[in-house]
Amino acid sequence: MSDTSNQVPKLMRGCRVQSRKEDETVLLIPEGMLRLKGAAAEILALVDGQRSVSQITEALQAQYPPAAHTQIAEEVDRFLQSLRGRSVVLFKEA
Amino acid sequence: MIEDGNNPQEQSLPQPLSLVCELTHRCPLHCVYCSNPLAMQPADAELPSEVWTRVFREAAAMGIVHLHLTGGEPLARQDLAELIASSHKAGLYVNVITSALGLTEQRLQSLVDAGLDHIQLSLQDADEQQANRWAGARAHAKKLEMARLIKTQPNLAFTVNMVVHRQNLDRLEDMIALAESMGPERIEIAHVQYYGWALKNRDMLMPTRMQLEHSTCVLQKAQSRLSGHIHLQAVIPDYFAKYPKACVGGWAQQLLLIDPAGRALPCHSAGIIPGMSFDSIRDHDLAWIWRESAAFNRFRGHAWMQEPCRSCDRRNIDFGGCRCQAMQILGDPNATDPACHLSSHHQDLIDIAEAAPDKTTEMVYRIQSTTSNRYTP
Repeated sequence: MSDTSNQVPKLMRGCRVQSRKEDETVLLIPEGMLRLKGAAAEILALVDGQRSVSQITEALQAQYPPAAHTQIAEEVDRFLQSLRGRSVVLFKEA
Repeated sequence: MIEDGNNPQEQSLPQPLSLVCELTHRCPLHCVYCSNPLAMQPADAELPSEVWTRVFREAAAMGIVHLHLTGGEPLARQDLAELIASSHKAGLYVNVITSALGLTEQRLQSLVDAGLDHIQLSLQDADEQQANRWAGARAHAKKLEMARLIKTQPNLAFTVNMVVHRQNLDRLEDMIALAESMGPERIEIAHVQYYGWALKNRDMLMPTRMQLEHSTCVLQKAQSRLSGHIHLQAVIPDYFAKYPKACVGGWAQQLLLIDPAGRALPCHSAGIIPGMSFDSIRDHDLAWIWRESAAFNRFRGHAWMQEPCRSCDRRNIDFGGCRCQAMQILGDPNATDPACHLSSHHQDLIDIAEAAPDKTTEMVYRIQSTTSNRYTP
């Protein structure tokens, strides 16, 4: 588990998810557009400024019971950290 | 179709992503580095709301994502909220680039209610008197007042833009601190790019090499300090760079610009290149312009390139740099951008940059001259 597990991620102002073509979901941000692949859109749907990183992981686990918990946790962490690096997600203490 | 026989990969049309609309050239500011052309469009040549609305719909249908409403000062358009509403309805991500002059609490709320996603506020300096000097207007205090209102908007992305140059660069740390106190998600520190009015004032604005090196350190420190809270983006002056910038993401690769009268340009200053003719959005739809307009096709792909660009590994990274800069410095829009160290004229650019700080000239302020470029149907 990473040390951010108790932190609460929140989308920065002006970042929003939009579906673009039939099967393409994107995250619109002030300076561009990020294509959401794999579980990215599902993770983002759980980022509401209320749930902590570990609660997001639990919610995803509930959607995909067979998946390994550590794998989900790693994926959630990696994705959210990459958004943090782009100033798209802000972390606050729970 | 695009005619470019050299590279089969280039035969498909690039996907445009951004539309820049200069809604008006009217502006209460007279910035000495304004990127608007020297000859501007008069108020009575400006496109009416319904034409802009049509353009926004066409842009969204082409897959364009971002709409940048700029000017001049976009707030000078009384129909700005209406234009934001129609672009938001079309599905575009809407950004307004403003001086905040003409903004009130009520007007800001009307823009947000219309669907504004992002606001970019420009600052000229950390020091009020100096800031007003570069803007040629008493604007600084008003900007700070409006920033306090913008900060309280819960869903509006906020970027503070600051243009830096020799005259204000020694106050960079104060400028960053001021921007930070305004509570934005993003701070953009852009060195002046030398086009339009900035080119006229180049000798007064060009930083010294020492200033540039110091500012790079200041920016790096601020970037790591603010990381995770505020995204600090820096644009360096390409006169001192090794490689040229991929201007507007490559000519007619990602972006279209419509001027106040409806002329479609591949970049802000394309009008300075001789032999260009720009199609009007009054006569053609946006998709036609992207595909067919001679101005867009002129420097698209590689066919126009000379050596060393033509065989360069970076030709798809920086696209030979900026055509306008090649024109301005070398008088040849097909030449390699002299900002590139591979250009045989690279030293000319460095000489210009290094000679500038020893010169003292009068600052020329941006004024709206409307003597040419008038749209005639």
